Amino acid sequence: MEIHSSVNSVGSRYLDSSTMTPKTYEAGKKASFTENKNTNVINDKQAQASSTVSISGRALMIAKLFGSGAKEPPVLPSVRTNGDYLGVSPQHFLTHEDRNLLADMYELAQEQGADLKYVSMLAGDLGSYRQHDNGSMMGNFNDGHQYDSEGRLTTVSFTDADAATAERIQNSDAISSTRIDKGFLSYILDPGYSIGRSSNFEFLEQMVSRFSTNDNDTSPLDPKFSTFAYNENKYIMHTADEVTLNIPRDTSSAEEDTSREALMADAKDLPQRLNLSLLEAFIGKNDEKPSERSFLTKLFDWLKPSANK
Amino acid sequence: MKIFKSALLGLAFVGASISVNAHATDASITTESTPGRMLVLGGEGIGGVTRSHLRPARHDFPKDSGLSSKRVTTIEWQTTWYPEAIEQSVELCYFRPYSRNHVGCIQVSPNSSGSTTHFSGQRFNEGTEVQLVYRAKSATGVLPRHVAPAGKDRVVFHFSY
Repeated sequence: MEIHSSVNSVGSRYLDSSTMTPKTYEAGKKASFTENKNTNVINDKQAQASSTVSISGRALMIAKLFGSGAKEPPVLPSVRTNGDYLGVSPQHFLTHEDRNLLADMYELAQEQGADLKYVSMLAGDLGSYRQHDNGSMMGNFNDGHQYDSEGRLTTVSFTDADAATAERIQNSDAISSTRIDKGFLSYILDPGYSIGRSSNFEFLEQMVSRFSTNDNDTSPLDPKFSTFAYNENKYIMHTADEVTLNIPRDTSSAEEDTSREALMADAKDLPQRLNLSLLEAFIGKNDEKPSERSFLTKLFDWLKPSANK
Repeated sequence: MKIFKSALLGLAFVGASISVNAHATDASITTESTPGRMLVLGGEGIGGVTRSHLRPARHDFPKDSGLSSKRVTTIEWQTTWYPEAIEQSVELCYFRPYSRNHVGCIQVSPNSSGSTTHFSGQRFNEGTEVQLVYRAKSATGVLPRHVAPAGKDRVVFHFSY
């Protein structure tokens, strides 16, 4: 089977303009948001230099995921319990343990000068995994049931760079002891589940390593994480050559009459149609086997005279 | 003799029903929907979400399908997209007739089309619903703001009865 590949490109690559401003932070304080600004300043540069903002990881997590000034909302159960939860943002499904871990990640990212969006995107994917009942309510795109509109099998894979990073994470020593949920890592590192992800795999690799029990890496995060860019080209779609799914095409072009009169006529006709269906079923109208049809017809004929008596 | 004939008549009905089920008829119903505008909030991890509901109506069903048991075979989908939204994703979720809980979802792409047999064999009837759940991480311009879809969604339910 020959495969054609194309990189998904809905929209272009966006560079977000609201990256972190260079402020001095003191991390690891109480779980509250405090801001101490010198208001008697002459210009922005002086103000920046004299500002000291102390934000705990937990306060950052709440502000970034639930909004500035928001209280931390309760953990919602997954969509398995209620389909209406599909319309809720994923971060509401993060468990207490997830939120604690993410608070620590925000704090680390803040200390290291990384753009906090890297953590927020990871939080969104983890929340989505929880929302879909630890991924059990989400099908794998590579399950052999996905086709294009012509009926040719489609599958997805990572870009070469992401595939290499995913393999490094899966084969790392850190994965056995990391605080990041192993089920989530298996899920997000599988391209069939990862189409809608937002996480950056290189940042995820750093988090897996730095939040493992045997990590002694105290080196700073790579400076490339100081700016964040959205990248919607995260997977490659492959489409098979041959059509293997027969999709029936409706060749009738007649428009259905959906007027009130037509609907009322249909409703009045319903009992008769039901009777007709039963009768058709009884005499085997839909039965393509001549022998069975013949038997049912004979049986009907045999029963009919007594009914007419 | 009368009792015997009645019993035989009953058995004949059961047999005929089984016979009908064994020889299914294929049909399809096309539905369209325009998803609502999406409110994209300002927080960098919050973004926005909106849903598109696609349901077959009573008058869409073939007149001879009556009370027959119906099962989905293939679902064709065509999604729209939100041109001003950033980092979009779409989930296609299947709800059995009149159920508030869905049986599962698959990830599909915005502004795209395809077919899936992932839900093949699921019960299908009036009250069935496919939801297309659109999510975005952010949007262009000053947030919070509403963003509008570019067009319509389309779902074709192929089923047998």
